[in-house]
Amino acid sequence: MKMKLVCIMALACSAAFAQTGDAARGKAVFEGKGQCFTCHRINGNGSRTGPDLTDIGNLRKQEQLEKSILDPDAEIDRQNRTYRVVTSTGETISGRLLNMDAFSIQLLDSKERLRSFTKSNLKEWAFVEKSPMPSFKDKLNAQELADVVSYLVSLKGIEERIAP
Amino acid sequence: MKPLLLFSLAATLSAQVSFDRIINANKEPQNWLTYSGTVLGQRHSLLGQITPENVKNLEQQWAWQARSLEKFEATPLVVDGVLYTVQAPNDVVALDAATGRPFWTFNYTPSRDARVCCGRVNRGLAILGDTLFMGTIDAHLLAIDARTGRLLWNTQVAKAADGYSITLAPLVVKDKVIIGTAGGDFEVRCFLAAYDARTGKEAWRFNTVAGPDDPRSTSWTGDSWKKGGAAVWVTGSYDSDTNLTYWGTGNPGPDWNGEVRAGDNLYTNSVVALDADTGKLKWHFQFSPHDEFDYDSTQVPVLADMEWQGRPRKLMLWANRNGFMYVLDRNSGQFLLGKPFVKVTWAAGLDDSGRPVRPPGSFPTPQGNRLFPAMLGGTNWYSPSYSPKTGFFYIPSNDNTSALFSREGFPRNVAPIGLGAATLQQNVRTEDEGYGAIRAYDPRTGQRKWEFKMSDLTMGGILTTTTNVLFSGGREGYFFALDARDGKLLWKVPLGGQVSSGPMSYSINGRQYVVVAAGNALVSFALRQ
Repeated sequence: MKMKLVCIMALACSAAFAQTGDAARGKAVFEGKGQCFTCHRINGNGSRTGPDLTDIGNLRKQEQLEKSILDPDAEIDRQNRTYRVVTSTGETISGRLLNMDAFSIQLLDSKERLRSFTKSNLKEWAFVEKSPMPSFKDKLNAQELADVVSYLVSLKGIEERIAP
Repeated sequence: MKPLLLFSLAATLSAQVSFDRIINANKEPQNWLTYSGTVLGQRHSLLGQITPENVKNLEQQWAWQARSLEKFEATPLVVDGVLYTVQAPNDVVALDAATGRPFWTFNYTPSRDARVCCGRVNRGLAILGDTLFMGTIDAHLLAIDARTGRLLWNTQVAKAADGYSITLAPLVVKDKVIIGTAGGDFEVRCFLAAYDARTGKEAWRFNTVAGPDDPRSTSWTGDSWKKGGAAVWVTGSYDSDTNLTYWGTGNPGPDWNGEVRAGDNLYTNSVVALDADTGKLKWHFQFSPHDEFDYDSTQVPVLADMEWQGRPRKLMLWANRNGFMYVLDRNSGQFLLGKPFVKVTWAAGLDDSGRPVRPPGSFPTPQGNRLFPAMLGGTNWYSPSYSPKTGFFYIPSNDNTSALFSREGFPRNVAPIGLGAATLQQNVRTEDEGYGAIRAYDPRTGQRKWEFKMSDLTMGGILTTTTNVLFSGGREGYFFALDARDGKLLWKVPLGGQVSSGPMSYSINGRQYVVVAAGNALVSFALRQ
């Protein structure tokens, strides 16, 4: 109650703060309705094309996570930028930039294939300004958003597995 | 009897590297007798077998793998078919320059007191007669028999426990070996010193921080001079006409907190011109007074004679870590020209005397202040080159930025890059975030003639040849050849390791070789036969 009052007074309160999230429900939304594994990876499950979120709870605050879900273009980490090349034959390939030098470019493409290109065989190469992630502003309600954020905050790294 | 005498004389002559041979090194381009090839610091070879037309036919001849994981920063010497280099930190090896096979290895274990800011590295050797000279990271100067690898003498130059070290290749002038001390980031007062090549006895010393015994001590407040730094860690040059030797000095200490050392802090970030016999100061020019950016002026002084505004003039070309390129009169130290060769924001320009004009707010702050060039500099110790053939001055350049923080106690600097390593580093930056380049300038005008861009930064030096071939490399691990006239790429080879030194060239039996260190290996190339 006190929290809600402070939020209203500050007029800067996030939706996630206003709702109490449940990490277990958030996990279900993440893996189901949200289809987040299409791009993201957690503890070895999901796609490698987007940022691995296994320890995102150590790296991002609750407010930052919510902002990224509602407005993915607002802040894109350098290492998470999408890179796009266009070959001399007109083929466009996007993915995660792994390395670049004066003569060549190495990517993990959107199908998780390691690709290497020589610049002399490319027409264009550049980072993509926008995030490939869609906004979930109109796809999740406030409770679902709070649940997903709570789930992400709970992700603190790879689970230790001790051999018996 | 007579033929035997002639044979004996010839063998002696070929083995002995007299000082006359050193100052006339351009008369024997088959050899590489000093760190930069000649005492002029031009890193320019008069060998002409490799040309822009045939450089594409270069192929590897041999590789020598150092038993060291440190950066390979040494430039080898080659004397009459024998290549001498340093396996970091301080082992010396003699190789057959045609095959890379070793003749001998001299092993040296530095004191455990040795500490260095930026890697346990060494940049090379000097030679006089049959003796090789090497500075060590525990601040000793060693003399080694070039035929056997046997230690001849070992002189302690300074105490490693105090923070001193030696990483540069010494310079021989007449019968003396000149070295400078590193350690400017460890609260010491550095110096240049000359040693008798035969005995190892100190002949003179020049303190690169002006203390109470120097009229310019007023450029320091209080006792700040005692920890003033001004390290010397890149080899100087020598003009035999004037007997002046030129050396660049490093940053003042503490690096980024200038408040405790108000004043210009002479002779930090300067070039000093010393009488080679006495070590007496003839003139100095300070590039970055009261430096708060770690903009060492430890670059190779490049000496060039050319027409300057209608008359012949003896010049010094200097590409500085602070992002400006300078032309000085090397007889007087007079400032003639200075222009930025990379983006510069710490200074708005240079005044008529060459002193930087500082815009408001261009200093480190507790919150961090983003300035150009980055702490790593517009360039650094990487050898530039001057080609008398093209008349161009070639600079390994980095267009880059970093945020500078001032803190109480030891200051912190945050740069988007590290100081580099022998292994390749992946690069995911775009050009607007920083890149390396080879840039060619006309020193008469300061006008850029061309550039060759790399995606990553560069830490490689430059070699030019009389046939207009330019060799260099960088952090990307390529070794490449450009046309020195227009910067066009002629040839490249990925070597799998960072190029952290300057290429050099020599010939054996008329066959020209080009050698470069990449990663932990030395690699030799020559034209396909």
